[in-house]
Amino acid sequence: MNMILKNTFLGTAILLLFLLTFPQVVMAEEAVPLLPMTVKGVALINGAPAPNGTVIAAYLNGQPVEKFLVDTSSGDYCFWISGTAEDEEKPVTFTVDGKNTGNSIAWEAGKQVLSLELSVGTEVDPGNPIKDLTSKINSKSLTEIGKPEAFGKNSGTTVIESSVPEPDLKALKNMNANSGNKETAESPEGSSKLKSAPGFLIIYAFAGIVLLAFGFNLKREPRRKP
Amino acid sequence: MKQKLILFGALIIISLLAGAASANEVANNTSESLLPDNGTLSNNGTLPDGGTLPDGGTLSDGSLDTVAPASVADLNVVDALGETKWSYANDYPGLYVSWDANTEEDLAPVPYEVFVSGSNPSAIEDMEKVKSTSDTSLYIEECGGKPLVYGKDYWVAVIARDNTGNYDDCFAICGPVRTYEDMDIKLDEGWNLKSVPKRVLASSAGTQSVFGRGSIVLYWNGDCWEFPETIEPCKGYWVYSPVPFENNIKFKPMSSDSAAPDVPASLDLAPGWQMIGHTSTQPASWSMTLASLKDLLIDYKFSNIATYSHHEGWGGIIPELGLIDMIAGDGSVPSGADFINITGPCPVGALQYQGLMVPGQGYWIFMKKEGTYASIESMYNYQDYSGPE
Repeated sequence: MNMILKNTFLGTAILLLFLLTFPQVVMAEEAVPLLPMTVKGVALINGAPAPNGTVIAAYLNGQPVEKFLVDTSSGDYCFWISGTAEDEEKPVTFTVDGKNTGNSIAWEAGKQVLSLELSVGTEVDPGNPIKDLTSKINSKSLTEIGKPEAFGKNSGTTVIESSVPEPDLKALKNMNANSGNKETAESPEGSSKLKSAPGFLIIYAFAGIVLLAFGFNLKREPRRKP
Repeated sequence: MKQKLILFGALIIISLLAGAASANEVANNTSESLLPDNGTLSNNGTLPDGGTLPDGGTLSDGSLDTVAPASVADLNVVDALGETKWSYANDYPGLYVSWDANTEEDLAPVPYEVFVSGSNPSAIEDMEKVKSTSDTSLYIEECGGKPLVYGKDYWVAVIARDNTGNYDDCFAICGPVRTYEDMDIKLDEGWNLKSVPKRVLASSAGTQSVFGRGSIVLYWNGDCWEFPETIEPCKGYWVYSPVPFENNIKFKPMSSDSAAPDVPASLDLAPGWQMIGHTSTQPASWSMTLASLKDLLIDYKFSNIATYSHHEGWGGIIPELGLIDMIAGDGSVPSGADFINITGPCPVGALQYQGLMVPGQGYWIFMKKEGTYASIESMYNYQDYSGPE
C-alpha cells in the first residue's frame, strides 16, 4: 500500500516538474530571430542593367532562400536574407535569370552588403558615375569596409559588419532574477512569475521528487548495514 | 413534533416581518417618487419641463399616480473601445452605458433618460441630459456640447419614467468613469517584433500587462539585451508569446496641465542597429515617421530599416538620399502590390512595397550616426493626416 502511495506521489511530482519546465523548453527551442543579412546592388546582364521581370535568386548554403523580381529599368535589387546561428559563415550565392553570378558572401546576422554587382554574361559594366557617388556618400560613415576580394568579381562593394549578438535568454533570466523585479510592485497584475518564480518552483519540485524517491531509502539504509 | 411546531412558528414570524418590510418599502418609494423641480407633481399633471401627463396623470380610480418605477438595475458604464485593424486604430472618446430593462407595466413608451456630468452631481438637475431612449444601452460621446475628453472623470445616471413622468429619486448613477484612447495588440505564436504607438497608462504599462502573462519581452538598448520592465513608445521589442494573444491597451492622455505639460516621447539612438517602434495609431510613410532622423536636407541618419513578422519573415527598405526620395516618392521599392488593402496582417510587405510603417509593429533601424527619434506627433500636426487612401 505504501509502495502504491509512494509511486503516486512520484508520478505527480514528475508531472509537476514537466509542467514547470515546459515553457522553458519551448523558449529554448525557438530562438529569437536573428537580424537578416542585407544585400543590395544592381544586376547586370551582358553589361546592361537587368530588365524588368528578371528574377534574381539568393541561395544560402546552396538552398534557395529569397527571390527578387526586378521592377525598374536600372536593375536594382535588394535582399533581406534571414538565417539562424547555424548559418553563420555559410556561403550566400546568387543567380540572375537562372545563371550563377559567381558571387559568394558569408552569411552573418545584421551584415549589410551594399552596391554588390551581380553580373552574368560577357560584357563588362563601364560603371555608373551616379551610383558610384551614391555609394561613396552612403559609405562615408560605415563602421567597417569589407575586403573586395571576398565577393568574387566585385570591387566596389561596401560591407557594414555591425551585428547584434543573439540574446542568451537563460543568462538574461538569471540576471533579471538576481536583480529583483520591480514590476511586481508596480504592476497590478503581478507579472513576475515568469521571470523569477519558476526557478524556485523547479528547485522545490526537484527536491520533492528526491525526497519522495529516496527519502525512505536514505533513512532505511543505515539499518541494513551490519 | 415539538421541533416541527417551533420551526413552523418561526417561519410564520419571518413571513410577517418580511411583509411589514415590504409595505414600508412601498410607502418609502411613493414618498421618494417625486419630480426634480420642487419635489411635487402639480395637480393638473404637468411636468416641470412643460410636458403634460397622459390621462392627466390619474389612475383608473381617479387618484393621482405617484408611484415611481424602480431605479434601473445593473447600470454599467465603461470606456467605449476603438476599432483596431492590423494597419490602423481608430478611437474616439466615448463611454458605453448599459442597464437592465425595467419591468413595470406603466413605463413610458420611451422610459429611460440618460444624463452625464463632468463633476460629481448632487442631484439629477446638475447633470446634462444625453438622450431619452427605449433601448437599454447607448454610447455617450459628448458632454456639454463638446466631445468627451480622454482621461477626464465623468458621472453617468439613468432614470426610468412611468406614464405619468414619475421616476425614482434614488436613481442609478455611475462614476467617476474615464475614457481612454486605446488599441488592440495582437501577437502571433512565437516571436513578434512589436511596439506601442503612445505612452501606455502607467497602471498597465508593465510588459506582461501589455503582452500577456506568458510573454517574454526583450529590448536591445544599443549595447546589450535587456528585459524591460515597462513598455514605452519609440522603442521596438522582441515579444515571445507561447500562444496567439490579443490585448487591449489604453494610452495615457497628454496632460493639458500647463504647469507640467507632457512632452512627446523621444529616444536617443546610437550608431548601429537599434530597435524602434511606429509612433502613431495610423499608418505613415517611413519618411514621415522618421522625419526626426533626417540629416541636413538630403540625407538620413539611418541607412536600413527592417521588420519581421511570423508569417512574412524579414523585409525592409534601404533609403537612398533624401533628395532622391523627394523625386521618387517615399523611397520604397515600387510595386503594384496593394498590401494595405489586404485583410491579413502584412507589416513587412507594407514597409517593403508601400513604404508604410504601421501601429504596433516594431522595427530594426541601422543608424549611420547618432540621432534622436522623436514621435510623429512632435513632428507633424498628425490630426490633419488622414493616412493612405
